[in-house]
Amino acid sequence: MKYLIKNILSVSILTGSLLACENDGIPKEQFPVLITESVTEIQEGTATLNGRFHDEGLSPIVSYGFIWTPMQSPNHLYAEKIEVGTSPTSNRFEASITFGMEKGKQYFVYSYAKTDKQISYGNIQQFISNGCQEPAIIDFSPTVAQPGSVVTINGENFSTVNALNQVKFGTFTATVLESSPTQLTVIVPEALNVQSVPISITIFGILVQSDQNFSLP
Amino acid sequence: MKFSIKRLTFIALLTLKVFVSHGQKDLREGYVVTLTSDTVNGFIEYRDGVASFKSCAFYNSPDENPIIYHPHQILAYGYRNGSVTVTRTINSQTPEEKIVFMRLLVKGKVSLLQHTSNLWLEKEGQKFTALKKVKKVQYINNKRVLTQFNEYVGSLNMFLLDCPQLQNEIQNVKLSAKDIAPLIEKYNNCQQAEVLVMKDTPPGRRISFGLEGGLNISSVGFNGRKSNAYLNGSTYKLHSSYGGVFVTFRLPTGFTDRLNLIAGVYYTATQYEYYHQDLGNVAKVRDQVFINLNQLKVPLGVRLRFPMKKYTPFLEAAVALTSNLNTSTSRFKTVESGGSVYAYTPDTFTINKGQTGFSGGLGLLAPVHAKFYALVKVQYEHTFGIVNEGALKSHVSNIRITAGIQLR
Repeated sequence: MKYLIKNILSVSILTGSLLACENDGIPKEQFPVLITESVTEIQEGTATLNGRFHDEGLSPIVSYGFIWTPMQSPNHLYAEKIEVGTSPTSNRFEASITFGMEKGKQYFVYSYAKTDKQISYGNIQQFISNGCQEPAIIDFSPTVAQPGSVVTINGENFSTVNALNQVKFGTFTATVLESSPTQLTVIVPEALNVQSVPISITIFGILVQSDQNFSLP
Repeated sequence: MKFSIKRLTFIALLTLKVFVSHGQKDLREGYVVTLTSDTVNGFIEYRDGVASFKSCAFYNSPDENPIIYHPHQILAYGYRNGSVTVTRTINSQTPEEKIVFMRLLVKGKVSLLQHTSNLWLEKEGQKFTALKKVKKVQYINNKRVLTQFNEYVGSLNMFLLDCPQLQNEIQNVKLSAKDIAPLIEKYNNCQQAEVLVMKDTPPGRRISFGLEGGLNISSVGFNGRKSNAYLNGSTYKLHSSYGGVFVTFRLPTGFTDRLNLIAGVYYTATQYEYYHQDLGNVAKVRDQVFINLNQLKVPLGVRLRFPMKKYTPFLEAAVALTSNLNTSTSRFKTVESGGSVYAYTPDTFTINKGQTGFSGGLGLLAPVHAKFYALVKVQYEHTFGIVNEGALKSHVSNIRITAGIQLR
C-alpha cells in the first residue's frame, strides 16, 4: 500500500507540475485599453457617455474621459472633449454632456485615457444628438482693455472646439485662443473702435449676449 | 494551452504502471475442495459470468500469488456465505468427456446445476442431463419447417416423475434458473428429502449513483484560419468549476464484473482568452478574443475497475456530448502606432449549439463509509466544433481534476 500511495503521489505531483508549466494570462501592456459603451439618456440638451477600462495598463493614467466628433476620427478638427478624471477610481466611468452637440446631428464617441507617453482610444460608438443646452455668459474679465488684449469669459455649455465658439465684441469678431465648457480665452479685436459693446457668443446657431458691456479705456 | 500528446501519454503510462503493479483482484473469503476431499480456506477472486466457469483463482492470503485451479484440479470451490461451484463430467459435443465447473443451485435428491447459461439435472441412478430446447426440421405439406421443441419439459417429467402433483407446473415452467430452481426445491420437499437452495454470491450493486465536482482546465484551439489571422496565436487556459451527477451500471452476467457503463450530467462555465499580436514596424496590432461557454455535458461510456483489497483504481472512456446553454464571444483589437492606441471591437464568430467529443481518465475509489466511496479522478476531454464557419474549425481540450462520492 505504501508503494501504491508513493506512486499515486508521484503521478499527482508530475501532473501538477506539467499543468503549472502552461501560460496563465494575456500579457499586460504599458498603455490602457478602453471600451466605449453605448450612449444612453439621449434627451433634449443632454446625453450620457459611458466607458470602462478593459485593462488600465502598466503606465499611470493622467487623464481620461470622452471625445465626440461628427466624423469617424478622434483627432478630427471638430472633436469635442470632456475629461472625467485624472486617475481612475473604478473600472467604469461616465459623463453627462450638455455642450458640443448640434441637434439632429450624428456623432461618433470615443473613450480615451492618457498616460505620460501615449493616448489610448476606445472603440467607436455613435448616436444622434438631441441638441445641447443653451450656452450662457456669466462674466468676463477684464471688463476694460485695449484691442489685442486677452479676455477670459466665464460661462456654461461652451464648445471645446475654438472654431465652434463664434465670439464677437459688438460686431467685431474675436479670435478664440482656448476653449473649455466653462471658459473661453479670447483676444479683443484689433479693429474694435466702439467705446462700449456687449460680448456675444454663437454656438450651433444659438446666440447669447453678455449683460455687461466691454469697454475700451 | 497546448497539451501535447507526448505529455498525456507519459502521464497515462506512469499511472498504468501504478495500476498494473497493484493489479490485485476483488477477493472474497472462500475455499477450495481438493481432489483428496480436503477443504482449504482462503480467498477466492470474485468472478461473474463465463469467467467463473473457466478457472478459479485461489489465494492463501491476499498478499500471496494466486493458485489457478482448472476444473480437473479440484472438486469444488465456493465463497463463504455464497455460491458453490463443483466439478462435473459431461459429454461435450464431441464424444470425449469433459470436466467442467458447474454452479450448484439446488442440492437434494434431485440437484440443479448451471454451466454458463445451461441448466443440468442430477439424480442418483439417472444420467446427468442438460435441460434444453431443441430445433428439429419437419416437413408439413411438403414444406420444410423448423420447429422448436421444449425437450427440457420431458427431462423434468422423467426426473420428477415420482411427484405427480408437480406435473401441471412442469408443463408450464420456463427454461430459466429462476423458474426451475423452485420447482426442484418443491420436488425435494415432496420427497421429504434434505434440500439446500444455494445462496448466490452478492455481486454488488448493479446501479450506483454519485456526485462529482472539481477543477476544469480548459483551452480552445482553432484550425484552418488563414482568413482569421487574429486567431493565429496563443490560447490561454482558464480554470473553471465543474460538477454534476453520474450513474454507473454493472454489465449483465456473462461479461466481466469490472466493466461498468457510466453516464452523467455535468455543468461547467468557462471563459477562454485568445491572444495574437503582430508587431510591425509601423503599427503593433494585438487581438484578444473572449469566448464564454456555459455547457451541459452528458458523457456516456465505460469504467474499467481494478478492485484491490481496499481501494479500486479505474480507467474511464466515454463519448462526450456537449450542449452549449449560453454562449457569447467578443473580440478586442488594438492598434498601437506612435503615441496613440486605437481600440476596435470587430465582429466574431458564432458558437455552435453543441458538439461531440471523447474523454478518458483514471481515478480511484476508496471506501469512506458503509454506504459510500470517496472518488478522485483525472480526466482529459477533447471536443470538436464549437465553431464551424467556413474554413474556421475548432476544438476544446479539457483536463479535469475532480473529487466526489459514490454509493457502494
